[in-house]
Amino acid sequence: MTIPDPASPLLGQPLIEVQDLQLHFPVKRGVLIQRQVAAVKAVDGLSFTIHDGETFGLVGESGCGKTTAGRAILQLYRPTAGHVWLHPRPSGGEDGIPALAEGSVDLTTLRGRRLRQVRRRIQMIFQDPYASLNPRMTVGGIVAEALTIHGLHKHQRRQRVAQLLDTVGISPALANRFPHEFSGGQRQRVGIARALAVEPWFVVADEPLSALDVSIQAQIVNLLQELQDRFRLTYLFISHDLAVVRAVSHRVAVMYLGQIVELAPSDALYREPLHPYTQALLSAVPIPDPAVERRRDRVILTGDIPSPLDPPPACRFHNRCPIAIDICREQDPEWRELRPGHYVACHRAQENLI
Amino acid sequence: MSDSTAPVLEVTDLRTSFFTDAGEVRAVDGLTFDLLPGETLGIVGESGSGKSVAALSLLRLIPMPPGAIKGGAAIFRADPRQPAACQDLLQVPDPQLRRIRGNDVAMIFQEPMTSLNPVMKIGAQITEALQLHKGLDEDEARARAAALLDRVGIPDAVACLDGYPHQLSGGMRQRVMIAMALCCDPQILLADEPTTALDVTIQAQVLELLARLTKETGTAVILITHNLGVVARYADRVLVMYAGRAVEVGPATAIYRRPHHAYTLGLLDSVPRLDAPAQRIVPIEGVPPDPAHLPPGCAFAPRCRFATDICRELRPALQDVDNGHQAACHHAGEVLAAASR
Repeated sequence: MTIPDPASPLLGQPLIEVQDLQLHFPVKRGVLIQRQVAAVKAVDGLSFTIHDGETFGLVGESGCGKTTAGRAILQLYRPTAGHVWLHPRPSGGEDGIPALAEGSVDLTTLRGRRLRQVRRRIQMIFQDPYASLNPRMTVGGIVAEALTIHGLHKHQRRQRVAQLLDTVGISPALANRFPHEFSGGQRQRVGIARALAVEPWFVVADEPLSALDVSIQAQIVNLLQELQDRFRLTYLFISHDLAVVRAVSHRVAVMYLGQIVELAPSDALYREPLHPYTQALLSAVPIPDPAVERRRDRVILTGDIPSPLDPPPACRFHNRCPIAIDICREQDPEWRELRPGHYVACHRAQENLI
Repeated sequence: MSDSTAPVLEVTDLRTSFFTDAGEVRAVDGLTFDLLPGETLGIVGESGSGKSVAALSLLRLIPMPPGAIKGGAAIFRADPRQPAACQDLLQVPDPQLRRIRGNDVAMIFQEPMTSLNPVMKIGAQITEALQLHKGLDEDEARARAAALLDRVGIPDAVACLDGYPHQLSGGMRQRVMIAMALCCDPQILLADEPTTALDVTIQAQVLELLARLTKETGTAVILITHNLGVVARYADRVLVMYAGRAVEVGPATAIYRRPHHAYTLGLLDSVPRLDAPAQRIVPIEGVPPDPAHLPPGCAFAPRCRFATDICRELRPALQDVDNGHQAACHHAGEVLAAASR
């Protein structure tokens, strides 16, 4: 069904397949009789495949729709259109989850109990470990709740919680403490333990580091990578921090105003970005080395990101693009594979090829 | 006598504490540094390292109580060619300090929405300072404010004067903050995480603008940030703070290439680089110490892989390790050797 990505031969089978995903939030007017006057096209036609065992990075600036995309994939927001396929893992059928024993499922068609069952395989790590943990529950209780909901480990639940906390580097002796007794980094570890409790295959990590200090960020990055190796996890890693995304991702997609403008294996994207937005984004990030940084030329974009309520027609980047020509204002750029596995939506991208 | 390199600001042994239910929190615990005219000094540190409290203390802007400046001096020289004519910002009487704040020493904060008055027109917020400090009348001040907004790249400056902060984007608000901060040609600008709330492309716009304008006016900048990339690009010298103290200070290239403090080295190793392929980043284990219960020796010792008994007993002082480069580490030589590998 899906052709394995030639640029990443080491990756496994497709696990998550997103097809033309759209999420438009209606904008309503009127007091008694409300009618829809516009739509915020937060996510406007995303298509990509994430392979088993892969970390897929999704980067972009605030308002580009990356968080909405992550939530729409997990059905935390219901997409307006499109499909999200969850494919069974090669070893996936044997644990007897009914939804997957019978093959691939389209998450957008699931409701109620069926969706809850499948949710066991798709989990989320949230950005703010201060807001995402219930302050009135002990951390042990927070992790155990996930097991209760899914009816797992009924008899040895306490041991399982202890084991999970230990896995993420929290002493099980602290299971009876409350979130406020922990630092930000430790709380994020609790959030990770909660996500792992139900043995997911696919985890959406939405800015899991942004609320943390740099020295702690590195601890969490390493933990996520260690867990990936150990439990064969697949990540959608959403972040605005391009350096972190490079460090953790196999492939990276760049979003701008609800659409993906470039998608490539991580090294290719950073070494040879083909979309002018990606180029500007990369050149805006200062490198922590004065000797390198002071010799760098920068592409400084003018203007702010336009409102997703009223995105520019044709290529959405044309009004900030340093190389825009007439066609960019008139026609949507095609999504083209210019190098193996390296896709870009730009009328002029091929000019960057040497 | 001409000594044009006299520092515009000399901070000695600054100590600021907060008195809370948990006891005395020593947020700044003996901070010493100089700021030369026209230079940009980057202060890096993680949250709770005391970098913001230090900046606020210099202008006596910390809430007292629970805060208190317990000691130290901050000698400010309005005219570097007259080193004798100086004032201690921590001692001058309030009326005099008010003439210095926003005039000789200005400040830009992290979150522009909370530092602009939401119910006051932007023009009025800028002209207020000009009328107060420069004695301009209303029309002069308005013309000057429009020119300033134009200079910081606000598209329709005159219209912006009659607008309110909420009508602007985050990047535009921070430009207004820069215009306000520089309107009185200050000698010193304290910029506390000026672009942390902004997206990277906007951050680049704002920082380039700030660097260009302060170079033009010869304003010395204290750039406070946790972003090692930003400091690498914009700072002439760097001061690394940990648990309320300077642990290392020196020229930017020396700090990044030849770190002599284990914390500096740890920070550099823990940030992934945009220009390097998939890499192993090495975290600093543990968490920063609770400032209410600092360990007796080196505050970094509990997290430090170089630490020995002396580190846990004796607090290291800042010592010269190279020309203009100081570090407070008992094992500075070993750290440098590890960094060069």
